[in-house]
Amino acid sequence: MKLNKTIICTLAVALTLSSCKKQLNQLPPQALTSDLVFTNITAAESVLNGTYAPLRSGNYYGRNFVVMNDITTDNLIATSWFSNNYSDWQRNTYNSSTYETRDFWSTLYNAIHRVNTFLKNVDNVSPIAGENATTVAASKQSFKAQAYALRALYLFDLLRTYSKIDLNDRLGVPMVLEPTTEIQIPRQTVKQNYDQIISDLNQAESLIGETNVTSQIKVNKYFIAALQSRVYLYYKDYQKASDAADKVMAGSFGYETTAAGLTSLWTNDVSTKEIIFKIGIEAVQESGAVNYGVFFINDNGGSLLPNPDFIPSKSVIDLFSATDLRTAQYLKSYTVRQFATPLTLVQKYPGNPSYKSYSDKANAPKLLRYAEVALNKMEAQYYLSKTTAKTLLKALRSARITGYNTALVDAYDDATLLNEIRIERRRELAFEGHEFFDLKRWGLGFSRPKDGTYMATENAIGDVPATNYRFQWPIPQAERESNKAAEQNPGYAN
Amino acid sequence: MKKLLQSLFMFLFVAVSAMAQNRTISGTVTSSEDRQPLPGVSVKIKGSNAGVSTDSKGTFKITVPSGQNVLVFTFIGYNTATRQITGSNDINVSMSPDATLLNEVVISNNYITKRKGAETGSVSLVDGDKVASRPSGNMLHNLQGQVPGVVVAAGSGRPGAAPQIFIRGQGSINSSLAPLYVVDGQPVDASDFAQLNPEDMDSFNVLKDASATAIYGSRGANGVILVTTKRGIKSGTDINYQAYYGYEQINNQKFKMMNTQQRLDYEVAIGRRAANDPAIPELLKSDFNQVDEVFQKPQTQSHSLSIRTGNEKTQAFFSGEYAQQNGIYFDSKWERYGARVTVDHKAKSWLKMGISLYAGNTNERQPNETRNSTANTGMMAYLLLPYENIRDAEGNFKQRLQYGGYAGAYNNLWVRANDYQHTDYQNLKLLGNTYLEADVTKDIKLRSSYGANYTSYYGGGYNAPLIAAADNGNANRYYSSWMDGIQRNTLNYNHTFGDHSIAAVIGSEYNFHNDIVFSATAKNTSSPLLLEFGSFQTPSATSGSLNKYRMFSALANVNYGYKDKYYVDLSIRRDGSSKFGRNNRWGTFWSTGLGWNIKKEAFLEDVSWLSLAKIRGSIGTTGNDGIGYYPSYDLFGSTTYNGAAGLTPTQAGNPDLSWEIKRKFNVGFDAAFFKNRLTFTADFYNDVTYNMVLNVPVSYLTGYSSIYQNMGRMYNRGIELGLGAQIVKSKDFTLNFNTNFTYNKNRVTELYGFRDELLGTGTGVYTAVGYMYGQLKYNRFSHIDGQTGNEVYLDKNGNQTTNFDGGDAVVLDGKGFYAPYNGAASVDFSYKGFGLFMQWNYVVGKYTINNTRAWMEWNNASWSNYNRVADLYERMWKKPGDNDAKYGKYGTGTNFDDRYIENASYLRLRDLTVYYNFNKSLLSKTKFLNKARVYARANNLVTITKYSGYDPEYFNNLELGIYPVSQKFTFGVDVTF
Repeated sequence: MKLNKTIICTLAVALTLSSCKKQLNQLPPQALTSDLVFTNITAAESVLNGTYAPLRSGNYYGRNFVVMNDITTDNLIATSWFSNNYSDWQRNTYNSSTYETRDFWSTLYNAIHRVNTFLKNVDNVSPIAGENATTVAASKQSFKAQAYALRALYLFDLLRTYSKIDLNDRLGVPMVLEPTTEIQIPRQTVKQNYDQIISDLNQAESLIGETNVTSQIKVNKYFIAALQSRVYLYYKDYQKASDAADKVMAGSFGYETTAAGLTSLWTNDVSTKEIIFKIGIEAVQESGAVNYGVFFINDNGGSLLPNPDFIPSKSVIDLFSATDLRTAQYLKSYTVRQFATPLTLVQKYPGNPSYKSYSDKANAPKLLRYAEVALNKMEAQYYLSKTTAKTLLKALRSARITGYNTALVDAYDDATLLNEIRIERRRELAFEGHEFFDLKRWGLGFSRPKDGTYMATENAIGDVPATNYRFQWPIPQAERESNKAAEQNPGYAN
Repeated sequence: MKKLLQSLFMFLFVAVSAMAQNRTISGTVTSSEDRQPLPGVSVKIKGSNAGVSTDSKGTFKITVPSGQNVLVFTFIGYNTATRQITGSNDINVSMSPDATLLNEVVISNNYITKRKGAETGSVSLVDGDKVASRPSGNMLHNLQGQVPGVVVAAGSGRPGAAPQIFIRGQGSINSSLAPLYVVDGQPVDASDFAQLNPEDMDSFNVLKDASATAIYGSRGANGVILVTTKRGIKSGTDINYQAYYGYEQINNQKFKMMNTQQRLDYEVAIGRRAANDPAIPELLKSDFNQVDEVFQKPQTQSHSLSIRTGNEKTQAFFSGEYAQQNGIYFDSKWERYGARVTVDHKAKSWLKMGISLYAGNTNERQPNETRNSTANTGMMAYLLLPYENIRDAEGNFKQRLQYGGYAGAYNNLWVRANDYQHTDYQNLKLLGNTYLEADVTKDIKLRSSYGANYTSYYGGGYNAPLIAAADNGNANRYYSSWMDGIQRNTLNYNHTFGDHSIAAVIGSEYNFHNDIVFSATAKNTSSPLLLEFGSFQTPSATSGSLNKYRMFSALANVNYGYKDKYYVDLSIRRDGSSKFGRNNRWGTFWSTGLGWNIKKEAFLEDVSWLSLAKIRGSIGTTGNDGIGYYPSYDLFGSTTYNGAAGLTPTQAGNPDLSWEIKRKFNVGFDAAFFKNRLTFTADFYNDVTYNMVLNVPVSYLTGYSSIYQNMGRMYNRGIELGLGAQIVKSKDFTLNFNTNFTYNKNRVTELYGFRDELLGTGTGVYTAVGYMYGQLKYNRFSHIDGQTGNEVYLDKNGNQTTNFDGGDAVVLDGKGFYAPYNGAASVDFSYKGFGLFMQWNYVVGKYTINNTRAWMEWNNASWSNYNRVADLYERMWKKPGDNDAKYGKYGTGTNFDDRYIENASYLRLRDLTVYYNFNKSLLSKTKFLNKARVYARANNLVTITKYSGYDPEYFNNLELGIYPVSQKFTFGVDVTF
């Protein structure tokens, strides 16, 4: 009996105290600790893929950044039955605590952090057993080129959103080029940001070579050139804008000149001619992120009548003529759920059929298109050579408008030409998120009158001058509460 | 030889006398308190060891040799009674409870059992009976108002939903606020109580201060709720059957929405409808209060049968239960089956063992509870237009709705009623524990126990092709399972010598947790009639996770008493947890408690009106590890780009991350008067949380919104008072009164260092040094401009502005969503078996954002698709000069400002029960009934509040479309055989 007791006591104590240290070292099963990441080139490529992933975020090109910039201006209007999405944006009352300004900010700076983390660590990767050192080195170089180009895009999108498009303005955006734990980070000047964007693009250009040259979903030399043409145009370096555009136009790109071609471009997201870069969307897991088309049609996969939140304004509808090939692809008349007479809705994002069984009204966002590059060059050339500008405008209209009489363009005086280039840009790029920035850099205001009873009363805000402080989004309250060094834009509560 | 003769003589004598003069005495032992029979009372003949125990009916029969004429009755917790044997062979004894022991909790806290009166901590006991038989899917709701310092708040009225429980305020900012729940030694979650049978519960001990909780170490910071289940008895057999049946309905709700006439006037005024619209006369024929149309009055019922049996060697308890509670939301269904077996067995004179096993299963059909969805039944009830008839001529739900924001959409109720959409979950819970207890010596006991808590939770839902046309139907399936285990070894020492008593324990413990989640969605069914997950042909998404947690502990506790007057209690525990940074995995927690039983002092011993006076005090530390499983690592998580695998930084690491510590201080005073007719307890506490694990908000340029660090400090200070009185106590008539009150003051005293405030974006919840946790900070509304109809706000400097900007929000002094004052009072009155019981709760100083009301009042294009509050048209700005408009012009915004902050203080009649206890003499005629009780009960019958929303009890900062707590009406029986 005594022996029994002793055995029980010993066993009980021994059972508990075994293997304790090892058990306390629990590593998360579904995430990698950072020291294990940059140990091979495959993982480094995964991190690079992670730097692309923010592009499809709903706070960025996956949704907000495509539609909001047309909602806050004169291209899109809210219907009187709209579901209160973008409430502050459609009324132009957004402020520092409006969610979308914080979400855009956090998504973009997180994206830059991803790039910075990648660039800081990628050089630590060495070949592992069975890998060729030269191949690994080449991969590293092409990966870095892509990372620089993406950082340029992220920084440029932040800068044009939160700051004036003016190289002499003091209030750029805060910027870090390495992973940091610093919390007080002041804004830099627009010029400092701009220089960094240009430097990143140049760096990317020098490293990219022929990497991904036939890809439309990864950074290649055309991506870099197209973005350069936009950045230079924004900051009025017209020669460089035009030169960069030429690098794209030297490739095999061009206009879709048939209705079928345009349908393929906008419905199927397929065009070797028009698309320079679109976001890579794999149907099953990713297409749900890019279903912004539901704002424009919203018919539950065709089972209900459309119930759109946002429809084209009269002023944008009036830009499209019957002979314009784009009209049928950009706009369509529908009988809607909540209004007695048919309305013209946005048809640009009708949903890619190959995503349909996973996500209704999903289309891959097309960030860089041939037409935009041509328009960039056209506008730049207006300041360099009016003749070249006219040639480009005629080419675009001939491609898009059946039987277009190019003599009309030849007859334009300078003021008309500039105006027509701008109108053409608004028409071609409508609902793609350009309107807000174009008005901003042109120094133009806009007008949003009440189009009809189908338009939400509060959406009809009337005339908005170019001097409206809301052309610069508010620095989010959430950032400024920690980062007290970040100055608020003028106009917003400080 | 002489001895032998003597023995022989004695044997003969005894035998003869036994034959000649033995008497058999029989009788019944009852409690003087409630006149209920007392089973298990030891009945002995004075001066001898011979004795018997009373059976389950309290009766005994004992053979008394002649010459012996005194019987001694002893029973734990009662004063020893002695009876002279006189002429009669019947002796009935009424035993009175031991005054000095009442109101002092004996606590066996899984580690140590202390002598009565030895406890130096703050512990409140709730009898299991007070929690059972009330119709709550999750029994924790029934702890509301039972003891001071414990606040129970409903997060949802969905059957089975767990409440939030806060013990002594809110002691953390980012870590869990929930107490540690322990059932028979096994830690469980609040949600697990929905899986358990409330009738199985014997007692709930609420452990609050350091002396009581430090032994729970890193998990004791928010207090501990220690639940003990019923076990077998040492003689006889009790069979108990309890049942209730009743129904529920929505609480009195306060929003008045527009009727058809008001609605049509509004529509004409805002230009949605022409004044001469020919449809108007037809629409006026329909005028529905949609709340009555949409909510249902479901039935609820419960049946529970238990058997307690055993003998000196083996005791057993069996129970089985079925409970059903359907919700007031359409298609909200819930039911539970549960069974328990508990066996204790004394295998050897020195070895005891036992096992308790419980299996419970709940089936649930979940309604759409999405807070900000118009498909949420509760929201729909308000937002449907008053002229919308949701039923057809036969009274069935119409397929599609016709008007407003719902025009052309499927009627959610039709969809549910016809099985086009479901979400069903099944939750299987296995809870078991087993122990082995060996008496090594008379004073030393070794105990080894093992417990396991296993859950398998699976379910899913589908949308038929009809309503998910784009997908051709879709479905999801979800499976998760988790296992918590605990292994505990303790060595106890109990010794009393002279004036000294010692209870001590040393022990070790190992806790582990593993959980897995797997879910998948698929689309495209082979046929609209096939809606089982496997029939959907196109998989669309999968996800899964695995988490592990381990904790090792060593612990010790010693309680020393001198003359039952002075007590010292010391405890220490060292925990090592996988949750913390590699540099700081181990933490040590301790407590010191002192107790002084003043009543035992000579100068009070003869004061007869004072039954008890005791002072307690304690100080010590506990930890909070409710922070997720892997917060200390620098992590990269998975993502994809174009379907290719991606990695992305997801968490900034902190290898130094360490324990959040709560230092608790408590002084308490317990007193009882007039033979315990009046009891009183008071506690003052001051708990300081420091080294908090904070999600420190950083610049987004770091790539993160926040990083875990140990920072900050806050305190909760308060007083708790409890009072109990037996006002009248006579043969036929009793009147008892109980009340408790809690005041808690919370202040954040340090935060992040580089900034001393945090405003949750869009939430209005402001955490700042110098303010309470849960402080509200909002933009201030001023008035409606009489000329323009615009909303005018005050900016942060108090100047009027029409420009709403989050930067103008100001702290609203004294307004927070955690109430500082909580209390309850109950009255139990009975006369000849008939009785009335009432329990009231109150909460004072609580503020909630009534977001639901904002949804009802917003006055613009988007929101005018839905019905609006009744006075919107009448009181909105219509033309210049409307200077006292309550609402802005049509087309105003949807901003949040202090208009929607409401005082959510309330007084609620939590329970009103009318009962009848059948009297003994009546029952004894049946031969088999021991106890019988019938009752009718109403829960939440009356709520007095200024709050205009669904339910002031809802605990969060912001109330939007919550599933409201219902009123319940039940009729029940409780019989023992």
